[in-house]
Amino acid sequence: MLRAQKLTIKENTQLNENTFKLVLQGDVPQDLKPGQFAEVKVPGFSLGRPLSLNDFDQESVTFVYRIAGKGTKELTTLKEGELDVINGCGNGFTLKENEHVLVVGGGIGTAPLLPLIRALKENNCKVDVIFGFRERKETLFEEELKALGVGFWITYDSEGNNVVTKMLELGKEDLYFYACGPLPMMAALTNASKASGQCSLETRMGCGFGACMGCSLQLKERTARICKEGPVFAKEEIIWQNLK
Amino acid sequence: MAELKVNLSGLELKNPLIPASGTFGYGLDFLDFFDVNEVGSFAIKGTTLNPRYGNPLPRIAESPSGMLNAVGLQNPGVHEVVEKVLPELRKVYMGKVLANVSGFSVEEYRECARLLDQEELTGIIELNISCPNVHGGGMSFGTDPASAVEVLKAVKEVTTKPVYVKCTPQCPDLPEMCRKLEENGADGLVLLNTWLGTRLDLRTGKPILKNITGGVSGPGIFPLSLYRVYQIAPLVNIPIIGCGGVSSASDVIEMMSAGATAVELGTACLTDPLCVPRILEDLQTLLKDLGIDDINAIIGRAHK
Ligand SMILES: Cc1cc2nc3c(=O)[nH]c(=O)nc-3n(C[C@H](O)[C@H](O)[C@H](O)COP(=O)(O)OP(=O)(O)OC[C@H]3O[C@@H](n4cnc5c(N)ncnc54)[C@H](O)[C@@H]3O)c2cc1C
Ligand SMILES: Cc1cc2nc3c(=O)[nH]c(=O)nc-3n(C[C@H](O)[C@H](O)[C@H](O)COP(=O)(O)O)c2cc1C
Ligand code: FES
Repeated sequence: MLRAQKLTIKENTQLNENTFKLVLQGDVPQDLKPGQFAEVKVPGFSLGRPLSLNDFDQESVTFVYRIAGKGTKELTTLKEGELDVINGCGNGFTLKENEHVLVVGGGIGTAPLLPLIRALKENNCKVDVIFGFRERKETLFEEELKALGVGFWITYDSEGNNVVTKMLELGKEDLYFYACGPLPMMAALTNASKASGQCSLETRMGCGFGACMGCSLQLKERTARICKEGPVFAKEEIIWQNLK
Repeated sequence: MAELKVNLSGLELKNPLIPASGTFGYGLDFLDFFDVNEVGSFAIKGTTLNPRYGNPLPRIAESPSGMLNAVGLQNPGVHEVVEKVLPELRKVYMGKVLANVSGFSVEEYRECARLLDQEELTGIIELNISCPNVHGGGMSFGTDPASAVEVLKAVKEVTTKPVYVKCTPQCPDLPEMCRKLEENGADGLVLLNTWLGTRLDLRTGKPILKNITGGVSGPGIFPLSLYRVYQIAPLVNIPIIGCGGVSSASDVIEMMSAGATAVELGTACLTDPLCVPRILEDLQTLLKDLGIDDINAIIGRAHK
């Protein structure tokens, strides 16, 4: 359920050069799902920053965010106190059961995939993971993937490799996939994969909860608000040019 | 508790807070946050005769004290609104709405207004001749008094409910526009819609909005809209709804002191979905501090 709430900053620490982990504590909704996001208000900025749930439990939510501009930069300086948050935004991923699936992430787009992998494992899926980053120092979640005991591969653009070539090289293009990452990556993946899959999309948002139509996307057969009916859509529905 | 009831052309509102068109959807998206029956009324999303997708993405940009939108009047069209959306709303909302009507031709405005006028939920027809985000319609009616009057007259012919005209700050002579609208039968004015603006991407230097321009709204425009209400109020004898950047109880009091009978809250609903209950609570405290026990006492006090 959507909730507009104040949450307390419990942790806001640096993971690598450009990336931070923010943990907020409080009376969070109890029905959060992997793939959902929150609108996090940074004091001094009018609009919330949409950040995906990287983890959640009964009393906290965790985000992993990259400094992308002024708002996320300012966010890194906040080490205590409360933040206004609209929690429980979006539809989240639709989870498969008892299947062999592929999870593909690029850059900061890997953040929402961690809780997804956990949930898929709980659903008795065999999960293979391919994460791609620009270069080694940007690597995220390697330890977490090891601990989860899933098969995983990490690619680096700087080393002439990417998630799509990796998928093909491994012969995993027939697996149902879940993807989040830069637009060109998801578009290329969708093309290269012979299977069906789900992609988590982004655009600039006004509200994050369906009121402003600022994020409405034309899909093949319908229009949908990325913040409400999305951000996760079936690959077959997406017209990639509409996001450029 | 101070009295908050206000009256707009015979429509009694339990308080002067009206979520603005395009920022409250059709009311249904706020049900998770609060009981929407707490609002004085609200303006539905700008509705056109035919369904519209609107402008390509990105449609939203931020400004230091507000936002820009170039949604471009996305709506499911008046038939779907009447047949599907309003019946849903009636299950949860007991009040009346301002039916915000947009169009690209006089005929379209007329037909759309005629259909919405027949709805029990409609308390007031809000004629939007001020949308800056569509081409060949909307705001072009709002910058030229003769066109505005033409639309107004056509709509008045086919409606029974009060018609309020929502004006644009892009109008070169707003006092003249407002006088003409009153003369030609407008029952009230909504001052104002958004201000035309743009933002450029820091890295590419190109506009962020695919539409290039968008409507600027939010706290940053409050003094601009406030001044227009202050300027127009003494010139007309019809009610004014103040709109533009209102985000706090003190803004409500200023807007009403300048001459507004009620206020619309746009961007505030998007950035703080709980703004209506919050402002209502603050308003009581503030009115008590000011020793005012009926909010009607402050309407237009700037001019007294
Ligand atoms: C559903 C969703 C989930 C996201 N999850 C994450 C996440 O888990 N971690 C993470 O690091 N980033 C995530 N992002 C991207 C993140 O929201 C932006 O990087 C962030 O808003 C940039 O803010 P800024 O103030 O630093 O940048 P500025 O460029 O200064 O921001 C200006 C405005 O543009 C908006 N904006 C800028 N870039 C983006 C973008 N790429 N997407 C959406 N809005 C943008 C901002 O929100 C703000 O309103 C997500 C985006 C969406 C839509
Ligand atoms: C996302 C968005 C969509 C809007 N859509 C409409 C609309 O459909 N019809 C209309 O008359 N005004 C529309 N507006 C204008 C608002 O109703 C309001 O007049 C304006 O935003 C100024 O008020 P504010 O500063 O309180 O937001 C829209 C504004 C925003 C931010
Ligand atoms: S961001 Fe407002 S409807 Fe999606």
